[in-house]
Amino acid sequence: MTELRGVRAQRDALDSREISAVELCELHLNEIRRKDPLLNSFITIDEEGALQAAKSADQRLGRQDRVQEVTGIPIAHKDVFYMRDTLTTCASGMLQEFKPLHDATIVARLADAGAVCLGKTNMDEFAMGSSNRTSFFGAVRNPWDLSRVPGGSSGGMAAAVAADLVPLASGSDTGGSIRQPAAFCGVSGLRPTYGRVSRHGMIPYAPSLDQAGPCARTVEDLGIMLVAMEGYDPKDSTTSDRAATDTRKSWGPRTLGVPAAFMQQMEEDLWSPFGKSIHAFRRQGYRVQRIELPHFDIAVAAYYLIATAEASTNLARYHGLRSGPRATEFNGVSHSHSQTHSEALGTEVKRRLLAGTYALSERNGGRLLVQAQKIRRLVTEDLLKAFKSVDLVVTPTTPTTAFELEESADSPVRMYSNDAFTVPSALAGLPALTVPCGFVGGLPAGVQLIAKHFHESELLSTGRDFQRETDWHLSVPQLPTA
Amino acid sequence: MAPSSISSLRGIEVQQATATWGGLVVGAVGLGAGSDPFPGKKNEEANPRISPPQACFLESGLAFQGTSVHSELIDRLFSKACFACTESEKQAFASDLDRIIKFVSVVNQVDTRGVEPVLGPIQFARLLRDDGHVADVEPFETLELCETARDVVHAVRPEPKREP
Repeated sequence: MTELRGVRAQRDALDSREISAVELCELHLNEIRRKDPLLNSFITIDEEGALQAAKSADQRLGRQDRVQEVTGIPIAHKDVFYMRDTLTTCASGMLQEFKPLHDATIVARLADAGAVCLGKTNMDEFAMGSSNRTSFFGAVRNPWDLSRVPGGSSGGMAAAVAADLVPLASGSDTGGSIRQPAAFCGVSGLRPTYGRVSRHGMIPYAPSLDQAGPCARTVEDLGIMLVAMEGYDPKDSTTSDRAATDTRKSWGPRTLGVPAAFMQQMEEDLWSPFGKSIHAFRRQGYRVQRIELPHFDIAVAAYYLIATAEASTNLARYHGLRSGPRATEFNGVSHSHSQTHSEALGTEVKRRLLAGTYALSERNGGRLLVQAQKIRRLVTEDLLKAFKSVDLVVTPTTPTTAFELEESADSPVRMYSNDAFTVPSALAGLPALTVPCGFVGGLPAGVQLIAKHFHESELLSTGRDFQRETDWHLSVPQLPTA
Repeated sequence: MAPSSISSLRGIEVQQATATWGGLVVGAVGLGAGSDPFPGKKNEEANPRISPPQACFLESGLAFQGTSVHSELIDRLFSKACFACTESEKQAFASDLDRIIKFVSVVNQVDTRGVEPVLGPIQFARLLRDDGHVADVEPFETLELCETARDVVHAVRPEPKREP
């Protein structure tokens, strides 16, 4: 696998007929069989579908028919995306037998481009979590240290890419669910601008925040997957018809802004890799200056009010009347609804739905929710104001490295503070990129770049510059044989 | 110089540490040398590995006044959220919910007078497409659409029969 690591190497091998798409697919399926029992990064492995798609890709390659960058490349989708006739569970007992009747738009687009989907990756239940411990199908383990979490909610996505099970994977990011696990697992992840990528067929958590995006080892590969996913979709009224991202454009050295506020929230061990990242940018001619984001600290509290309130509305549909499991013992429709809800949803989901119900209640939390929405405006305006003096904002991606599987399991509030650095850009709908920036005690750390709306091209250019100067993204975890 | 302990987050050491970043001043704003920026009772919710400002607000005792998740409230929330739970589960959730509500209630400490709430990022990102003329709809087609719509509505919700 070493010679075929990453999309560029695989594309070259496929184009020169050194390997066929079927052989490449089988190679990755073998890796999954060998490593995934240790990681639990997949919920569904679709061998038959994958081999079929690989055969089609080989035919396309043979005819040179609509060959794109991802044609014949193995990928995986987070289990939050609809895939026709394929189990789509959102890692919940509530949807454990659900098979959609259609594909999510990004699933369809990647399939049309000839990508070979190997399966669906594990995640936190309904994308609610930062550790991937809340999955109905069991926790995912971090490939760098199997006693630690991979982050969440897209933990399976990040673990699979880090362990070379797939070179590309899709994820969803509500408050940091692509970036935090990517940082914990030492890979690159991108949250595109709100509206850049269609969410049609993506099971919602908090629709005003949810966004789909790619995960890969390198920034170059992120760009390849983004191009295949993005674009206007008549089935999602929030998608934009802006021009496609120019993934090859080089923007040259930019001015980076470092917010002062995050320093208070950061584990001291992470200062060193972050400081080295700043030096790496400077060596390439980037200018770095301090900026103020006065409401940075408060963003995570506002985020949890807004996200849980939206979730409590969204998840009301899962009551077992039309689909999914239904409680066997009940007395009337209302009782059936509450019994089903209680039996099929996990503890963290219930916790957040109760918090959201509180936030939506006029008598209790209504005032809090409006206050959170005002803070959302302030956080956004802080960032937009910063962009008048700098091109990109740079922060660590997470305040800590990956924590132990049992750590903070009984304290939801401690868990929520893990999203402190990723939440502000999510509230503002801004694109943000994480790239590996070093190791602390053998665990990866990530640096995050935030850009103006629809400036993914600028983000990718800066990320490529960083990865030309550093080699953290080339490190691969050594897993014992399962 | 690298910071040597977690206490270095709290005071002059912060500025010493930032000096290693080539003069980039990224310190904890307003922290005096040796002063404890997080005074007051230490909160058990504070992550031992980091010192989030949220925890600081809680520690200051200013964050949340007068709210606790009492039995009546938890019953009401369970009912509205459509959950059936045992008494022991309710107690466990009441404790979690109390901590979550305290955590999010720090939003009350921000002065938002004159700030309009925002529901989503659409207005900032200017996502919505311009209105534009797409195609003419023929009058006959419009009638057909109306006819179809009426049929669909009637199929779903038939009108009650009237007496002749």
